[in-house]
Amino acid sequence: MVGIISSGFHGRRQSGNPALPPGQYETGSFPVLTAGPAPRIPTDDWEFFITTEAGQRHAWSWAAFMALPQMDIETDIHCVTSWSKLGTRWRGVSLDSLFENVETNCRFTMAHSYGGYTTNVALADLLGGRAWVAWEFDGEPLERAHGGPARLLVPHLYFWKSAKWINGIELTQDDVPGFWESNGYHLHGDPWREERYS
Amino acid sequence: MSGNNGSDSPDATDPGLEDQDIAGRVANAIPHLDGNAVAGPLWELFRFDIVAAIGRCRHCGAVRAFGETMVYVDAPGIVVRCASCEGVLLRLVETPTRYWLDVSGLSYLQIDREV
Ligand SMILES: [Zn+2]
Repeated sequence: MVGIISSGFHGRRQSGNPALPPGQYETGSFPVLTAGPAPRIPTDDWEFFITTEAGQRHAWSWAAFMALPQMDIETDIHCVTSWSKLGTRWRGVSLDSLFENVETNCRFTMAHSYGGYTTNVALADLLGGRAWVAWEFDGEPLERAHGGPARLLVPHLYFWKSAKWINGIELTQDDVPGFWESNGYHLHGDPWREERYS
Repeated sequence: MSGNNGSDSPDATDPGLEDQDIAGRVANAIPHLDGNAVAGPLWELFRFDIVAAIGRCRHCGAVRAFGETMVYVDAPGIVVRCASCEGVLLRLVETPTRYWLDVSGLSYLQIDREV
């Protein structure tokens, strides 16, 4: 558990803090935002896939995923509903590792979650040491409410891109809007450019 | 989410917003409300009371009162799901300049006329 005594969901406005993107406030808590019920995925049944335009399917079981190089990540996260949480600590596998043997000419991807959630992320935003499949938060296995057993972590974009209960990545030729992007939210979602809405 | 989500129902202040270990809970881990939670914003838009309306789920075909739906408000928008199959019936996003309303999960809504 996070073990932080929350100063309240609304936190305090700290517009002077250079770590905060425009329009964001810092919170000590970790609000649970979700568009639906939390799926329950035992790690025995869990799988992560990457599919390509050529019809190739790369897949990792939990054991195969855990055998990949693991990284510790310390990062700030920014939710489009205006809270930011600074200095969060995660552990997971870099998307660079997962994409190592994937051949593709696609520039875009669709992240698919257990439970049906989707979000589109440009491939360039997933590579270059900026995105992970994270399974540990603050030294503990990621709670189901926060996307456990594993979630996408793309902290340089608004947090709706960091899909909970991640199941896989589909490479796509076009930038196809996902769940929130198809109903008002920005295709890209850079918090420093305040790309909140479409 | 702004506070403008029709949160008249007493459950709207559910402490589920705060971080908590819900992984041990049985059944549905994420707190949700019923159809009343979306009545306010839809009244603002269309001036009809959706709670008593009957809707057909496009995913499973269930025909049920809108008030029985499962409504998720702790999200970037309001998500209304079918109580039978959990499929998405309706999504409402409120931006500073417009509303985005997706009703593609409903094959129809049956709304009583005032007589
Ligand atoms: Zn249904």
